[in-house]
Amino acid sequence: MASTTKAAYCITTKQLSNILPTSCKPIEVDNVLISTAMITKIFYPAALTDDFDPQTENIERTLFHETVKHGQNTLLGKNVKIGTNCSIGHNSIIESNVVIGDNCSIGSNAIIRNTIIKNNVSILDGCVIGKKGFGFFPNNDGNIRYPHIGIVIIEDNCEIGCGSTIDRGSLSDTIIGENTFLDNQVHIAHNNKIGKNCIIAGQVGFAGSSTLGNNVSIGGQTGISGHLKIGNNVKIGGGSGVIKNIPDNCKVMGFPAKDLKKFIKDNK
Amino acid sequence: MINPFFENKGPIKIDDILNSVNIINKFNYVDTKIFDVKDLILASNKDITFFH
Repeated sequence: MASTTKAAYCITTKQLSNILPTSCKPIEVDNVLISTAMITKIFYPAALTDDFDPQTENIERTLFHETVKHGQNTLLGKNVKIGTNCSIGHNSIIESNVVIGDNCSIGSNAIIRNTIIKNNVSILDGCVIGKKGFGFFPNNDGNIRYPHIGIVIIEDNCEIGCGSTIDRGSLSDTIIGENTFLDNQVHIAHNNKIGKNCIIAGQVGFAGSSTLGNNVSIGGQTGISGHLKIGNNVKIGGGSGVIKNIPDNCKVMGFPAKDLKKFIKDNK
Repeated sequence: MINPFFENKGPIKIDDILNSVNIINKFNYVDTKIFDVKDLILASNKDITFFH
């Protein structure tokens, strides 16, 4: 990827700069991520904080009060778009610029920001979607936060269970693929790309930047480490700890997660 | 695509960017306007990216 980038400039190390194409000028630094964080802050200073949206108003005072079935104390930000046949429960907050497609159901006590929701999506009670990710760099002089300028995209026909949290991406987006169902209290961290038709049971937690294929099932309380690639049709048993990539069509279980047959044999 | 959720303060000149974060401008880059920060794949020839 680095050798074909079209970027004008690239923050990198002296050791890696010769991989870049001649059209991309290197900016050589000691710590690429910290320098990138500092430069991103210059472009997007507002992305570092996650204060509440002060521009919200009660749905009763907006045009949506006639077209959206809603509970008490439902708040909408500026420029929110909501499709037809949607409902939003009590005390939910849809912050500015959020897009909600047709036939969507948003439960009560949900907070949605920095998010695009496609059609036929159910967001159950108590979800928080689009908050900044837990991205930072440890530093003895004070940890440095990374500004999160990505968004959350929830594709068609998804269901997000009660109390689930989906963080927005840092530079890329966090994506929940079509027809994927999340159980209650699932945490999807920044930059994860969840495939189509996946089933993720309660209390599963994803660290950042992993990619999940299509038709993946994950049992409850499984943890997925960061920057992994989980293939298509993978089944992961409950309570597993996944710390390395999993190829297509595998069944794994345990901590660290290993082939299911080996897990059963080892635990007889 | 324009990010509808966060205001982009760009374009910003490359030398101003490097000065403001105390990165030594060892190749003496000047004047080029940078419009955005993007990853290696999405970056255009008006953007800055990173590689580590």
